[in-house]
Amino acid sequence: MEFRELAALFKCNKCGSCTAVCPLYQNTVHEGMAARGKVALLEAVADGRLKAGESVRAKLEDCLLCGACATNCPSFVPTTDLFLEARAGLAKDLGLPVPIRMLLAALRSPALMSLGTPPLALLQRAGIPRIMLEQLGGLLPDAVRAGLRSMPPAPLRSFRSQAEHLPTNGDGRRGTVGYFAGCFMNWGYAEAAMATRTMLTGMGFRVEAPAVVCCGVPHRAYGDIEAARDLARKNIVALEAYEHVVTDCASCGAALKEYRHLLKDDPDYRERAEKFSRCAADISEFLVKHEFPKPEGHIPLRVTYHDPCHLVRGQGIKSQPREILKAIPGVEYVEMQGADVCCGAAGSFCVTHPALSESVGRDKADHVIATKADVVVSGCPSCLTQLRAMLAAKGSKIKVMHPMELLAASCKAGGGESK
Amino acid sequence: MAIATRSLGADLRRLLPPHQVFDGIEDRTLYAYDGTSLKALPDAIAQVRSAAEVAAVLRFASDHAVPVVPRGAGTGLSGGSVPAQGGIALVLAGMRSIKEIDTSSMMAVVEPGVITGVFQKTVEEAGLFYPPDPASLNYCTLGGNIAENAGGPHGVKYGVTKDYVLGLEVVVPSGDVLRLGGKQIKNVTGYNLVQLFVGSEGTLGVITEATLRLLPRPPAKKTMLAIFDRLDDAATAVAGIMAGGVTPATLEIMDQKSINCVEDYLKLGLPRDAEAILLIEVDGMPAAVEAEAEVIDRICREKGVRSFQTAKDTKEEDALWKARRSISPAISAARPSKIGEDISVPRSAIPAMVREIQRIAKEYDLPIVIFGHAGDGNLHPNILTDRRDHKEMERVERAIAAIFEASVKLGGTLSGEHGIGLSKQSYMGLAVSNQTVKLMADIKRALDPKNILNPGKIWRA
Repeated sequence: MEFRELAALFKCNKCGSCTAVCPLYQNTVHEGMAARGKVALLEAVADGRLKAGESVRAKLEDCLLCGACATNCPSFVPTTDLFLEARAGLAKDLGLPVPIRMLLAALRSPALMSLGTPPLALLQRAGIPRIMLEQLGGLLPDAVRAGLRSMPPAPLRSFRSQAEHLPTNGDGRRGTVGYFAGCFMNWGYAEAAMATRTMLTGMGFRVEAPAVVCCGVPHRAYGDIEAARDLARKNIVALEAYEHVVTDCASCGAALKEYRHLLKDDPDYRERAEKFSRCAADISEFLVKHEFPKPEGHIPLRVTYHDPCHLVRGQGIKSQPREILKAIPGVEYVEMQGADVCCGAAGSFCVTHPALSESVGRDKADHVIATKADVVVSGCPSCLTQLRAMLAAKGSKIKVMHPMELLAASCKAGGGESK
Repeated sequence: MAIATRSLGADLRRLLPPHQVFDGIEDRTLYAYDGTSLKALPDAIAQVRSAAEVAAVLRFASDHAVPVVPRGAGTGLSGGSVPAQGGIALVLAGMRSIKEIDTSSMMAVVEPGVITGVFQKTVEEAGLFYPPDPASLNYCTLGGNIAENAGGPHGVKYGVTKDYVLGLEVVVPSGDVLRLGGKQIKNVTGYNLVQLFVGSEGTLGVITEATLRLLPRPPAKKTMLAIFDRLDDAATAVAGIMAGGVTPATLEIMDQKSINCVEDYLKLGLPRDAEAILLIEVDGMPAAVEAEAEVIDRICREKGVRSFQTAKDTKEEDALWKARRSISPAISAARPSKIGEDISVPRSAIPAMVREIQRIAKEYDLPIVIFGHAGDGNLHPNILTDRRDHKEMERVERAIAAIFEASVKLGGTLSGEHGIGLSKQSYMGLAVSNQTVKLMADIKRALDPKNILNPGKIWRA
């Protein structure tokens, strides 16, 4: 394995700052969880003291990729980038395990996901996963149990198939938005995606949601960089004609904004990716930038907000979602302790590392519960799913919502324009 | 009787819950380092949860002559927790319960793995105050602080860790669990064994519990920043403040090189030609704080201060602290590596010491940034370098030796708050006599006849 960022490795002086902000270290008190430990392993690999094998990979995968270490490093070691690079190097040298290859292949196939969602939705409506968890909880292997509880509430129809049948896409007096219907939003949180669409059309944007493929975040996380690049190129082709590209998924948004780095060595796509990434925006960022109309419907709820890693650190978006929530009449906004600490979902991490994911998730749920809020809001489907599961496990009745659902509800109650 | 290291992990798994023992090469690599650049592989790692587990490990290690190196968060700055001779890395970071906060006696009982900053916040919520404030307080442990006798900016008024440790539970190499001292503020019942273990760098016993003294939380605070054209004026101002009857809670100094480094990095508008900046804080009852701030203002003006600012609110306090807090990231941005030293001189020797270090920087052609605790004479010269450049590192080594020699010549010593560990042991002869080292070795032999606890540290055998 070779490192492009080798010089960056040696900037780490092992001070330990990263241990203070690493949710996994805080829960395990094991050096291997913290960034400086992983840097030490990579140094040992670079020096030839350690073989870059499966054991090193397992250590590198004990990571939420939440980015808290990189943000708090006094020596500016780009830890997350280093770990992604190392994962890619290991994927190249060692290949990826079969289940991961299957997962990544499935994510590359929209057709497979369209076929799979309706049966899942029917099973969920029949309460099968819930019954399995309740009746068999202790008997199921950890990963299966985690998989069951990590499933989004699948809609019977995806966002795109619902949107296709709507009479209008908006009048477009303020321009046209290419909506990036990420897998998780499209097939898992179609109602929230519809709310996003309602807000955009209400503001005078025409919304089109062309067929796209997975944003590539999982592929990048597992080190399959070529697949991530391939997906990036497909999405650029699908959406580059739009002056605005908007998504309501924190992870997809972070990925779209990264395409310019991902494709910087591709002569055919370098400039297109640069332009595309500049046009991409998270919905909260887009609404604030384009001065969303003040919602008028009264929503008398106590609301708290959880920062998704891919928004707060991935895109530097912290104030916009809060500004939106505070603009809703009747909402009593309350900040939770450690709002920007990862919830432990971290994409497929919650399935591959259920015990670690749950330990981090339980801390998050405690902080949500301590606010005595009625609703916890977050702009990331992965976080929403984890929050639901973790709050449910504690018997909490706190609702979990995407910010657009709350905003659209207020607009609707206020009689503002919709469709 | 020595045992094969291959079976060490298996032996430990018989003594401890197996999931608390690690011996794979990756895990050993993870417990080879601390906050210095030094590293040495342990043969196995034992995470312990109680004094009984520590005792079991120490009894086993004594029987089999296996080194044991106690470790908190591994953030030390002298190699104290680096397993120089292999053996068992004994990790106490998981023992992190604050057992008691006794508000009526103003005492706390803690386990060694409690994070210092977490402890401070917890006692503050009870209206109390634990002053020792090492820069790593957000991630270092109280046990490590005690073993290294850590200090911090509060040293000038409030002293250092040793001034707050009244009781300890210590496991010695025989496996005996000793309870020393307690909640008594006054205690002359035999030797002061509590203090023997404070700063002993894990060579005499393993701390499994500490009773710490607390103070009432000062209700008011004031922060001031004074910029001086000349280093000597800053130094006479420091002397004047102390002689004027004011003991500031913190009295930090930045030299010209630090000022320029921060200015390169942040463009705060600091004057690049100024030779020194003092950052001064007073705390206490509101009326006293007002009066003390006035004295400091007057003295700084008498001593020719170029500019003097007092923060009016917490926002302005943060602005004044910004330059001091930015030194570390600023020097990280300037060069690939930094080697931080920790000399301690009599307060009056600060200007002479700063000038000596500046001369050494010129002589060895190395950028050296100086900042530290002017109020207590503890300076942190930081050499900006590149660890991968072996030629330059040789010059760094010689410069460090020259700094230690200068410090001792000015009545100072090798370390104020980081300890000796591995990184300074070859200079011990400069600061203490052979007889003193022999006495230390005799004491160690009395407690640790098989030399299993953190062997090869502090002095060279």
